[in-house]
Amino acid sequence: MKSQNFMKLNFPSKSVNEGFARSAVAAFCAQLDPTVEQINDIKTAVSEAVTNCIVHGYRDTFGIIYITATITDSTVTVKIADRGVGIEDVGRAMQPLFTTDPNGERAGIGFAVMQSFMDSVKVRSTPGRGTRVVMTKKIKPREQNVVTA
Amino acid sequence: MANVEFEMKNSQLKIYISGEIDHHSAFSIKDVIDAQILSRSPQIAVMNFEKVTFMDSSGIGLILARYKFCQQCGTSLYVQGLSSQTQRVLSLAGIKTIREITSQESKI
Repeated sequence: MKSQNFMKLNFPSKSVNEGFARSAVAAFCAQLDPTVEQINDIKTAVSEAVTNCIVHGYRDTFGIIYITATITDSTVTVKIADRGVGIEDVGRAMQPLFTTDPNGERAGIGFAVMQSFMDSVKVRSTPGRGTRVVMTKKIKPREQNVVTA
Repeated sequence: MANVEFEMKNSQLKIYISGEIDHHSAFSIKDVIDAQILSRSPQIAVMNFEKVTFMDSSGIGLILARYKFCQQCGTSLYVQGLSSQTQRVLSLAGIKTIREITSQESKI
C-alpha cells in the first residue's frame, strides 16, 4: 500500500456545508506545506465540485456527499462523489459556459475552474446512479517552488 | 458567510461585499443587492470585493447576473478590488464585457 495518509468526510447536501467541505480538505492538505495560492486553488476546486453535487446531483432532493482525500508522497487526490441524478453527457457538461441553470445565476465554469486549478480532473457519471470527480494536485516542496517561480 | 453593505453618494451606489462568496452565500446576498439597485436606481453601481477572502465561480455568476439586472435598470455596473485569484476565475468565464468592467474600474 503506497498511500501515506487519507481522510473521509460524509455530509448532507446542504449548501451551508460548502464552506466546511473546502476548509476541511484544505486543513488536511496543510501537512504538505502548500503556499497560500495552492491552498486557495484546492479550496476553489473543492467548492466547485461540492456545489455541483448540491446544485445538479441532488437538484430537487437531499443526499449524502462523499469526500475522500489521499496524500501520496507530495500529491493530493480528492474524490468527491454523490449518488444523485448523474450526468447524461459528461463532455458537454464540462464545456465552459455550459449551464443548466435557467436563472442565470450560475456562470457554467465549474469544471473549467477545477481543470485550471488542479493538475488533473476525471469525471465518471452514470445517469440515475451518481457522479464522481477525482482531482489531483502535486504540492512541490517549497525549495523547488522558489527555483521554478 | 458573506456580508454586504451599501453606501449611496451622488447617484452612485457602492456595494461592499465581505467574507466568502460561494453558492450558499451568493444566494443569500443577491436579492439584497437587487433590492437596493431597484429602490435607489443609481446611475452607477460599484461592487467592491476588497474584503472578500474567498470566491469561487458562484461569485462570477453573481457578477454576471447583476450585470444583466443593471442593464435592465439603466444602471452601469463596475467591479473593484478583485484579487488575482478571483481574476483567474473571472478570465475562465471568458466574457469580454466583464473584462471591460474591470478595465474601467480606474475611472471610478
